[in-house]
Amino acid sequence: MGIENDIYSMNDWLLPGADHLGGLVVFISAIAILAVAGALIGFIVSSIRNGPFEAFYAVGRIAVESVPELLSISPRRVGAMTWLAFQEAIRKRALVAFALFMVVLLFSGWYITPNSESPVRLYLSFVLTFQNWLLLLMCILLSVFSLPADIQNKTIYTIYTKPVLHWEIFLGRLFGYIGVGSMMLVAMGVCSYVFLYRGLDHTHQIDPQSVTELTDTDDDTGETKVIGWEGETTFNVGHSHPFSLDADGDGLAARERQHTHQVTRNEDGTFTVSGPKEMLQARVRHLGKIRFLDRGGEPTNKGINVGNEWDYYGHIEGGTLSAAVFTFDMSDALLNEENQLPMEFNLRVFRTYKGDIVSGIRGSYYFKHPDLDIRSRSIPFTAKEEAETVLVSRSQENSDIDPTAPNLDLVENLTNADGKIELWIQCSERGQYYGVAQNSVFILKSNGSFFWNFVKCYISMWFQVVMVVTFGLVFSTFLNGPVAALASLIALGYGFFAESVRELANGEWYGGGPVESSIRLFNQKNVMVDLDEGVYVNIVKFIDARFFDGLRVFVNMLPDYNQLDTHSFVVDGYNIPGVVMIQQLLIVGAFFVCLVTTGYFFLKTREIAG
Amino acid sequence: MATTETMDSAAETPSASNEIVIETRNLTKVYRDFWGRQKVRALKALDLEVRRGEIFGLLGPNGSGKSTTMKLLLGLLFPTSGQALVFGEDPSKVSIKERIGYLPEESYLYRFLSARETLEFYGRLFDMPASVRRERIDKLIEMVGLKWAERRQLKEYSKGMTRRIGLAQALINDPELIFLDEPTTGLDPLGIREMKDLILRLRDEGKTVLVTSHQLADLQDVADRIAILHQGELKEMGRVDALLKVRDETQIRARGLSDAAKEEIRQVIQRHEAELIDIENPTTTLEELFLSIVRDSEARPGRRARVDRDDSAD
Repeated sequence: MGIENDIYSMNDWLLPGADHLGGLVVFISAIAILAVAGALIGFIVSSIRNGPFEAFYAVGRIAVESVPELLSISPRRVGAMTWLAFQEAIRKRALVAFALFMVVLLFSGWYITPNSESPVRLYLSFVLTFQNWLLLLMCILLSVFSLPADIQNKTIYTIYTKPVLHWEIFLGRLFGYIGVGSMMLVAMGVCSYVFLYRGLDHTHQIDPQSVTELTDTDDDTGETKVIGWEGETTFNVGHSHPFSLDADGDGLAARERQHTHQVTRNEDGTFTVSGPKEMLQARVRHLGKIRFLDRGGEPTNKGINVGNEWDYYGHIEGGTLSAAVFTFDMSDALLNEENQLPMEFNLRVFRTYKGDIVSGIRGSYYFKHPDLDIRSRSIPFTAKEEAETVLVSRSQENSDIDPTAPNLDLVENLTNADGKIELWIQCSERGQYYGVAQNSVFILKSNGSFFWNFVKCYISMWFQVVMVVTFGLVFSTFLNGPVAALASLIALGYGFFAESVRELANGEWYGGGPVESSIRLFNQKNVMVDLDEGVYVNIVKFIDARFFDGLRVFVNMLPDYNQLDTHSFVVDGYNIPGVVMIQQLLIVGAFFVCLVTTGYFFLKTREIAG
Repeated sequence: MATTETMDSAAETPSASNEIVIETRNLTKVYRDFWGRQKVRALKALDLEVRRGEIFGLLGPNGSGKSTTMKLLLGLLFPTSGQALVFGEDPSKVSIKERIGYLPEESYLYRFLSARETLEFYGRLFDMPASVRRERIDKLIEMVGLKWAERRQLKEYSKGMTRRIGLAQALINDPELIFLDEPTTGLDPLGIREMKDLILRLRDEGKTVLVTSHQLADLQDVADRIAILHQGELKEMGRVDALLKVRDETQIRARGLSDAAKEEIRQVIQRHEAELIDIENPTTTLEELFLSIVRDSEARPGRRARVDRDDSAD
């Protein structure tokens, strides 16, 4: 299970909560910090050169001019600048990156075959990851060198002496490079889709001689009739499928290597096997909210942490009252045609002793009314650290012996007035643990379109392209090409480690901040030992706290590219929720506004011929 | 050195009016390093006025400050102190740039574009209808003689061809004020002549031209007034013909003299009844004047050049 990002509702994500500031507050704070820092730095630099009075006037003038300039942006001039940037990128061979992608794609067929255990995962991971990095790298190179080269070659003189606003120069280039990136993304996407379908497409044959006919004899009449067929397909691309057909000669082959095939018996006794089915999926998840109970059955903030590697998961202890409780929004619409609730369990297992590896760790789950003390009987299951689909019957046995209500209906009896139902999961084996997170257990709502899921994944990639190009261009307004490229790479690299830095800024790492860590290093004290009491400790902690404050600001100034990465949804066959796309759009929009403004002021205050 | 005359008045420039198009007041530019320390004082308290309809030449050796002056007037540099005004406003204002054209020293153009694409691109930066733009592009390409190569990328152009397309882009908006930085650089003699003719034609159309050049003869031929800069200071400014006039010598030009008459010409030219064409103060060349000012400036740095001339006489 690759998806480890919790998915918040728009309200939870945007508005302040108990444990987070919310996107809106962070955005407003970022704008305020940028404005104050920009004005202050501008004033200091200008003061050194021209004195405080002139500096005050200069900063004020630039700030005041920026608004009418923003309002008088001309689409025609932005269009001209965009066209120029587009032409420049194309004629300076930016499409080489696409050619490189195509060459690698063509030859990758030698090494990536559908013979692997998880061919879909392999193909999608390769295609999406490779092209994402290639594209982002190209976008960095595209965006960081152009403006410095223009300044160095003085071609920008002929632009600056025309009636072009700084906004227009910046936006024109930005749109041009985003346009090139978008064009390549679309081209790569189309090629990837074709590669994927062609690479994974295969079929099998069935030898009619090897198929067993299933018959049934009527006890009364003694008549024998055919009730189906059983057999196995030929061994192609590293696997074969056992199958069983109904009396009409139709059926699905057993699921192997993440897919199945439709098998049909023809009138002449031969069999037809379709192409792979249910291979490229986009299952729509209906997620709930999770809370934990500790070993005494008391509510706790999070599950047990068994180490950094499994930090995302809260663990519940086996053989105790410890439980993970999911609260779902429940309705009839979630049940399938057979009145079953399709669910998927992806529980992690943490063992303190080896036990029986093959059989997994035993546990149980039951449904409970959120407000009343009524619940269904526990259903045992075994967690094997792999996704398991469970079809839960709508009618569940009552855990209490109540002759008037021996069964409980999931919707009618166990769902409260707010439409909520609770699912309790417990681990039965003492000394063993289940790792549970929001994404671990969910209701399978429906099967979405893989194509649209694929498109949504590419929209996320496009968001990354926009971010990378915008960052690169902003860096290039005040740095020379190679330094801007380095800065962009660091920003990109940082984006993929942002979660760790955020944890550090929130004081979630052991050992304190830089000063405390240095003292620990010097005194050879390990991170779990408290420092001695004393005034100096307070001073050290105060300095570290300010460092963390600064780091928190920094954390919110650079993007967390993990938040813009949805390829794990596609690889794992899950639909990308709309709310995730909207949140990504807002993140990119917020960064875009801040960065474009920053780029404008850098250009505006830069002495272009200096 | 012969005495020359300064006449700092545009009133006598044929097509110039009294409207001031460019004005600098105590304009100073100091280049600083990253730490804000002074590196070079490129321009020192320059006071200058250029009037509508005149061709004004900025003359000076390398590092004299003429390019800095032009960049300050174009808003490419910010003044350290003083003020530069174009059409009475700060040159960084976008509205000013609707009315100016600029031919840079080198052809700072996008070499991946063709000539037509270049003009199309720069034309789109101005507020003009597409039909007018296309018409102007056709006209300018015709004017600079690059019709035959209009579809070729500029990277395939010779230096002279690039200068021509550079000039075309400077004129794409039919500007009132044209900045020409070393316009004859890279041109062959025929191209130089055409460039001079064009500058004069622009003046005749009522446009104001500010031109810098290392080719002293170029300015001598076309400029109404010139300013000579050295080491960032204004050393001389005035009408070209006045600056070059040598007042303490008399030049006699005659035609049809016999060999015998030539022998006696110094004493009795009139007595031999030759046709007297002209008697006037001879002029030196701008090159001589320029070198004289530079020599004087180096001998007495920080002071206005002292050439032997009689300012009062006119």
